[in-house]
Amino acid sequence: MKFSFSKLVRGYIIPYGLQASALASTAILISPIVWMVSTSLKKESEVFDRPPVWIPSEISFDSYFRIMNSFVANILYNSILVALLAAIIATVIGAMTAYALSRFAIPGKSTIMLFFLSSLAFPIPLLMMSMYILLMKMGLLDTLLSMIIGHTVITLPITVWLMKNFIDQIPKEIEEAAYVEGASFLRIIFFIVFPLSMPALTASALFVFVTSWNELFFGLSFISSPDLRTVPVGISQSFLQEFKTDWTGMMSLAVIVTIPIGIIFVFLQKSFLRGMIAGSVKG
Amino acid sequence: MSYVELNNIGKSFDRVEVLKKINLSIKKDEFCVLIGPSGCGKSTLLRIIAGLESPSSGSLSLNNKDVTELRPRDRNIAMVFQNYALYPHLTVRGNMEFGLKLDKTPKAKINDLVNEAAAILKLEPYLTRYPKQLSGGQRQRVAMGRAIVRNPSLFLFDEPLSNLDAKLRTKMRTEIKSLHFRLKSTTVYVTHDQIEAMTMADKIVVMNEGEIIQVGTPLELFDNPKNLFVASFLGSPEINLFEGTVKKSSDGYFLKLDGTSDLNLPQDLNFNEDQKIIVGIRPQSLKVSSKSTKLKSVVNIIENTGTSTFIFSTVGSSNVCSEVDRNLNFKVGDDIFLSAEPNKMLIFNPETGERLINEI
Amino acid sequence: MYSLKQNKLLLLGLCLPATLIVAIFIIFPIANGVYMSFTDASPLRPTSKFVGFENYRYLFADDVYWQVLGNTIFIIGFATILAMLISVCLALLLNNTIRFSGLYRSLIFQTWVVPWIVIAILWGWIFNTDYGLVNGTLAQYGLIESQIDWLFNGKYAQWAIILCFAWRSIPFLMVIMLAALQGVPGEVLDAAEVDGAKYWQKTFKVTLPLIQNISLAAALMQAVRMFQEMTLPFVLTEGGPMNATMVLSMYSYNLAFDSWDFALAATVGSLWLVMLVLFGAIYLKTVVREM
Ligand SMILES: Nc1ncnc2c1ncn2[C@@H]1O[C@H](COP(=O)(O)OP(=O)(O)O)[C@@H](O)[C@H]1O
Ligand SMILES: [Mg+2]
Repeated sequence: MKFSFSKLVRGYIIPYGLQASALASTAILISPIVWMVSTSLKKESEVFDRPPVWIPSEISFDSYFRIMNSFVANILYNSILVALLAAIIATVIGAMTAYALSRFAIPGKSTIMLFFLSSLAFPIPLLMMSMYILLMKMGLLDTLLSMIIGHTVITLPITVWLMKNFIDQIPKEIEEAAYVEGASFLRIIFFIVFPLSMPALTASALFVFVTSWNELFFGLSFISSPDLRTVPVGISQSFLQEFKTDWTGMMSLAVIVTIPIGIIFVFLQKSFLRGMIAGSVKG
Repeated sequence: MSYVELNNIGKSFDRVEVLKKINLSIKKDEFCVLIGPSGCGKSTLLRIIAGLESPSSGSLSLNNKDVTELRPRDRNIAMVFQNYALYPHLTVRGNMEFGLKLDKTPKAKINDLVNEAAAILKLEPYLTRYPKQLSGGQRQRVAMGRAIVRNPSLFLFDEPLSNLDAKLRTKMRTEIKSLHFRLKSTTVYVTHDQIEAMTMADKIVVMNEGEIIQVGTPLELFDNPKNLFVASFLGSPEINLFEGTVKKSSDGYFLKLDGTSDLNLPQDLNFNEDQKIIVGIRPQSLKVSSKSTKLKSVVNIIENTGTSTFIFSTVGSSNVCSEVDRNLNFKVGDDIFLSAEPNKMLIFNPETGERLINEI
Repeated sequence: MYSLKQNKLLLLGLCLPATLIVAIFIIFPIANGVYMSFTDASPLRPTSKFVGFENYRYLFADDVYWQVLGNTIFIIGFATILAMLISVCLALLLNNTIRFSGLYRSLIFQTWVVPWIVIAILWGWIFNTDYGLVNGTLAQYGLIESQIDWLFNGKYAQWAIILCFAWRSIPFLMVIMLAALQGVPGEVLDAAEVDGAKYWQKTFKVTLPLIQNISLAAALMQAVRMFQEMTLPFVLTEGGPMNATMVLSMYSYNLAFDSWDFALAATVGSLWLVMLVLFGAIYLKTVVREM
């Protein structure tokens, strides 16, 4: 057999080259996360070693036990509560509106959709000021409800948008078949349209959940009681002051507050992508 | 006794008139096919019968009861859609049960009905599958099963076979027909396929541009089309049309075509000399021989489908088709002579397209 | 079936919650915000009075405002461009038949849910002057001699934020582009190959033009989200040093809820809206028309 340079390139260099670049880019992109986990598992003595040590010589969970207290449990609880309720409320309300916009000849439909789209870019502090005044008048300041409302408001446009694009792709005939068979609209919506929109419902609920889990500023300005703080508020308001130089402790906390959402996302990533892509990339 | 009565049904979408004054009555147990080119309003009419659209004008009664304002569920109908419209998240059984459950049918009764329908449609092995695990033909059957379990008094089909391949379509055609024979239920069936219409219908309704052109049994329409549109729409290959001027000779009337060819006309009709007419002759009636007639032509293409042989040839500037015995040995380029029995000729007015029968 | 007239009650039920939310918590705040920008409103004051364009005049004369506007555009512009370039390359790379490419995609996308507050702490640790990973690694390979004060030097701090914004945008942009790439019909690429196109020609002449619209829309969406993002500068650098990492959203937030100067904050927000409208008009006129 004759040695062939192009065969070598095509058979080995390109495949292995691609594999190596893919591996390297992934490694670089997830390296901050790896570093976070690695630091959290280090013993205090190893943290400041130079050159940086990626794999701890001895795995230690000390820092986890050190920072895990009722305060952390409380902010996690608050965050889960707010994020879950905001996700459910924004998704259900968004889906209902999206159904109406998708199926009925509502006047000014395209303007409404354009409004929803552009409201994603509205200056949030501008919204927050009047919301602050309104919530104060309603006596809702310093309640978790104020945060749920805030997070619902800023995510509702995207849930409407995602759900509408998804529902647009469900053939109307399926609903008509059910209608002919005697189903009411409510039954059609809850027993046919919503089950068929599962990927989009998952995507929007997850989107709201992630946004809420991330959101710092509503919590910062609407909440004053320390025991109502969510994760971002709790960390920035109390933890950062107390643990300024306890790097292993801070990284452990970082890992702990990432885990709930990380786990959800591991399981729902595929579904999320399907809903997101079907909902945003039309046709 | 008529079961479906449409009185002056009209429908407009945003001021575009899609249906114009449709009057139609369909008898009990009749299999009625609505046919017409795409966009002529067949689906719209069917959806008005179903109650999915409401007519802009006119009224509709089922079984002598005015249902114009009733919702579909109060009309006791079932509908099969072109893309089947199965519930993707329900199993075959779930699909068939859906309507029954809404009607609050007792559980045991539901099971019996579904099992019976599944047996009729040979769906028993698939009851626990989901629609996406089924082939096109099976989905089609599920859609029908969903319709028959509810024992409706009116079946509506909207091009139910057009998503299937040719072979399956033929098979399902006979299945639907035998199902109708067995269940004896009134059916309105929309299609744009004239073979489906011819083979399945008790009564064909030909539509064009929102209007009913002609109603009749398949053979009535085939043999006695009211105008050029119906004549051309039914029959495959299409009817041959010869346009020319009526002349008189010692043998009687004949049609002068452009070029040198002539066509003898039926002698029992009274033509006016120099009258312009169109003569339609179906390929099956256009005889080919090598024996000289006044209609001379040259073979262009010979098409052999196995069951029949068609010769396409040119007369003057137009192409004509004739069905011939496969044993006749013609070749491309051969000169042939065409003829037709006078009683197989359909005469039309070229301006209006209307058929001229006696009053010529 | 979907007749507006026959289903009034249903439509009311479906649309009422969203309509109320939008009216009370989006439209009213925007309108009221624009109104406040012409007053001297503040929660610290019982009443407010109309001051005309006073706030606008003040803001236009304020160097900090212009600096913040410049920072924001600089940071988001570079972060978006950087993220786009990397995401396109990554998407093209992972769109090849590479073993584990699904795993790589999932791993990268997984970083998208790391909370901003965590990223802020993490970035502080990674860019720490004395013990940070970045300085440690650079020193390990002899690239720097003394420790760099990443977060305490204006230019460096901006780049630390740009890197972070880009890093955070990449997962989302990449998966959208991968999806778009998977939507490019194989026949089109086959046809190009039959026509004699090489890999790079196929990529630049066929693939990229086909995914261009989706990619640009995703990039725009990402840029918009970054515009609103303020956790990172707020926690990591507190906008400093010397306002170098102060972005528009944080600036107006601070005006509103730190200085309690609602009027001036509303002015910043209103100008932001004006930019948005201008940008949207340009976008609709150029990009959308082409589509
Ligand atoms: N919901 C609708 N809105 C506007 N126009 C419609 C609607 N449904 C049908 N049409 C129009 O009505 C005409 C008839 O449509 P249809 O009944 O579907 O035709 P067919 O089923 O015979 O192909 C078409 O021109 C179509 O564009
Ligand atoms: Mg149709």
